[in-house]
Amino acid sequence: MSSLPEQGKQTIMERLASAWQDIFTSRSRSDVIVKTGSYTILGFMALFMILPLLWLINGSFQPAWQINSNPVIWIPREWLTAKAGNTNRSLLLWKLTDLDGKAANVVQLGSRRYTATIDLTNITELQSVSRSELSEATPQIVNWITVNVRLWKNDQEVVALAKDPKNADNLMVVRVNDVSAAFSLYPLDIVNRSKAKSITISDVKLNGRDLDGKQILALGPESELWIVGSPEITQQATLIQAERMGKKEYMDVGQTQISVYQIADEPAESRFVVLVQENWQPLMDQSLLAEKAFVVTEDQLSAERKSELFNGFYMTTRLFTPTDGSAPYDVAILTPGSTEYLVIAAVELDKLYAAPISELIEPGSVNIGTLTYRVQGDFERDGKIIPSAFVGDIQDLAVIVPAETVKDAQDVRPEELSRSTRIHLNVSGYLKVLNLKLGDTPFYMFFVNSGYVVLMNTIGHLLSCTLVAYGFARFRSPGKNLLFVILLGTMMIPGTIVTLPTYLIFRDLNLLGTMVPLWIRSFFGNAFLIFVMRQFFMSIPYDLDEAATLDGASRLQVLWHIILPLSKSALAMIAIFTFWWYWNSFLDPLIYINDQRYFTVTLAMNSFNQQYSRSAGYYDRILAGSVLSLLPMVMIFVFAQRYFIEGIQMQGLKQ
Amino acid sequence: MTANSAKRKLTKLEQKEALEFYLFISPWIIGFLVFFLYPLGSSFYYSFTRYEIGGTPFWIGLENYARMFSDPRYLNAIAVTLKFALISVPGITILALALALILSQKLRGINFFRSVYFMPSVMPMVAVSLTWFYVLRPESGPLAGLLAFFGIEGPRWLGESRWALIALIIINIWLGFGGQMVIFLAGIKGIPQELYEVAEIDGANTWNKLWSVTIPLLTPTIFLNLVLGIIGAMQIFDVPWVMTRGGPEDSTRTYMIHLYNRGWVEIQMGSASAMGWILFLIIMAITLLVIRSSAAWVYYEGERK
Repeated sequence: MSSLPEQGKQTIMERLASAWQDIFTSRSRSDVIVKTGSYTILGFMALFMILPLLWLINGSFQPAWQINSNPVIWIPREWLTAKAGNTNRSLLLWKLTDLDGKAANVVQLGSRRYTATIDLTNITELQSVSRSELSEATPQIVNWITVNVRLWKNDQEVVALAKDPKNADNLMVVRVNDVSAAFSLYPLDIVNRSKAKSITISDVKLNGRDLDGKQILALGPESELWIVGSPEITQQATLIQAERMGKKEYMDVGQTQISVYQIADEPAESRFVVLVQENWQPLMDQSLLAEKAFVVTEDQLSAERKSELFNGFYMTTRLFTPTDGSAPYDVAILTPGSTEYLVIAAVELDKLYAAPISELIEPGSVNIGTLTYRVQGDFERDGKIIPSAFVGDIQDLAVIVPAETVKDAQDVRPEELSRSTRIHLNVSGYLKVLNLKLGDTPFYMFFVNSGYVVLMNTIGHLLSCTLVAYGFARFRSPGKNLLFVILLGTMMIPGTIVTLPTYLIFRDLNLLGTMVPLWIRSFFGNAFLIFVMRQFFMSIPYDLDEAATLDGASRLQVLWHIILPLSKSALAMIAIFTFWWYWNSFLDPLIYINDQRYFTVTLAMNSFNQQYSRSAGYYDRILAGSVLSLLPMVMIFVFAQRYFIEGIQMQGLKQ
Repeated sequence: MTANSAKRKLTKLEQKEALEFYLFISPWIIGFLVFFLYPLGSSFYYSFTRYEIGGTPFWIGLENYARMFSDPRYLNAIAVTLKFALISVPGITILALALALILSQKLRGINFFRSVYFMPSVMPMVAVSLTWFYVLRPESGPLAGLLAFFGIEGPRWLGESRWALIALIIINIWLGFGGQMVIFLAGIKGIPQELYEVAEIDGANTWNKLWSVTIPLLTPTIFLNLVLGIIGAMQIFDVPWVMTRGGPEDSTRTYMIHLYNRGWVEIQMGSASAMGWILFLIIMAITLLVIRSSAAWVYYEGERK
């Protein structure tokens, strides 16, 4: 053993070396082995205990798709996207690895269906083969092209081109090896547009096509190839009404063709690439709607309706005549009803925005009189959650970029692409769960409810348990010992047996549907806590009581002024155990609480899980909610661990 | 002393003290009568009646009991619960004892390990169940991912009746083992050091000391842990309810899930009361069995009062 001052000067390497030497020279070698073994077992057990919790925290920072991903994603990531110009749409980035192994991000410019074809020009002979000698057609890659290949007599690869007109049981085939150079891929639309031309080989008429001077026959299978290009083009993107899309043409870019469109109101010679075309829902900040929108009746509106563009979205406007005689003005219909309309002054519509309906999942609804509008409570815009109301009609919109910005494009098989991601702690699960509602009750209310239950129980336990424990600790009375044995006995009796009759008691007291049954029983003590408290009081010298009593203090005053100030740690234990039991309790709330307004956190999480555990889009919220629900317990555990440990050890004592 | 004093007449002062005593403990007495004794009695009565909520109890004698025991679903619930308790509780106890023994060698980091092992026991069961629900998901769950790493295709845990109960047992061990370990640690700490010194003088090695001193002196603690563990496990509700709702094919339909369904879903209070009583009797029977057998293996110090 080296002396302390020396140790300070040793480098880590030296210390390691001496420790290593100790292992082999000291007589405690078996000690070291035992220690290593012990730490290995402890470590494995610790991993088993902690990994599920770590994974929960990890998962809560993942967006829903990652939680549900197979293979498993271990570290939270986010999809890389390119924001499409000034639109509210992000385009996914895909990772494309080229032949040299270099990866680049690309965006999808379009897709095209292709079919495998065979060039018949050099084929002179077909063979008629019985179907029974052929295997099923299976897609197989020949010369980079997927073709439906069959096995003939289990060893020769052939491709069937037609039925044998003379023998219905036979197929006309060619050997793959003889024709492998003749396969090629052609866009289906081009094949279908080309001139039909029949060719006769070996007395069989084949329905081919004439394409670029070649006689080709479409064989299938059809496949979809994606056309991808550099992500920079998205910077120029704009959002337009899809009705402005004109004639579709093909334009050569790189080694492929992309479809381009003329756009109405744009110069006739310019062409545009449509990145996505989909349905969008116009949206409005719900608070703006709540403040400015109002309900009007049919007779207050002009018969004339106009469809006008606001921020690029069509809204129906009508002239509204206020009842107070002021000047009529234009209003936009937000939600139509049969006789009433939810409207807003047209001048307010400059704050209109929209989102693709594919991003609006399971919105809630809000009623105003007879009218109902839908709200996406967790709508995310520019990194902020803005509850947004659905207004007006769904619109068919397209995200376009000028064709001349597309400098390069290529065809790829979709399976060659993988999503581009980066490590990122995603907090949207938390933001979304905090904005979540069960019925009309916002998520934080469940925490308020649980807090209320815990608080009432704590007050109840502190009052009742100290009184009762003081009674058992400090008084002499006939029957005391028997009662104490009974008290201890109730701890050993399974509590569930009284669950149902207790429920009936609360029903007879007309307290079902209130939160009272969740806390009132604490005001009548708890056997274990009374026991803990009594043990603690017994350890306080009785002289203190006596001295105070001689001074004329009542027993209650003694308890309050002398005993309780000395019992802070026991009181803390009562509070902590109460928190533990009631924050976590589930069966009681499940039995007594039906009204969602009074749900506790555990109850809310359970019903939330039941509602959404099958819809993968909600996994992030469920995991984030779980983390939030156990956060208070973890905090208390971290700061007051010794009370838990002491309390648990008391359980070991009570025999 | 106390026996004598009870027989003779109490003095004024003693009467006053007795009165004060009963005043102080009155909350518990009321609670005991209203929320324990009365429910116990009334549920005993209800168990002989047909009692649908809103209706009045109608005496039907032993019919509830007779019917219960001819109901295959009920018998299945008993079997499931027994299997669950009798595998997971001894599992917890053995594991907790082993780890407590390892930790009780004077190792560094004991506090860290103790916290890590104990932490799951304080977590809300619902959140724990949700966590495991996602951990065990086939294909995309982390356990499946871990197994896939070793080339193993895991079962569909909660989706297969063969595995669902095993999963619940594993979770119960995960939840309960830390608490028992803490109790064992305290028990080991309470063993007087002299006993080891005496054993050493007699030439005992580590192994001898473990088997002749530590374990025998821990038997009361082991016994208590087993009893408390079984009482708890027989009443398990939260975890299977949140994770499987008793499925698949009733393979995790525990006694309390069955009782809850009978009482609060089918609203048959009479027969649910009967089930409560049978559960009570089963638990008492198991506890008595453990207590009876304890005479053979539990070592009590002679100095007990």
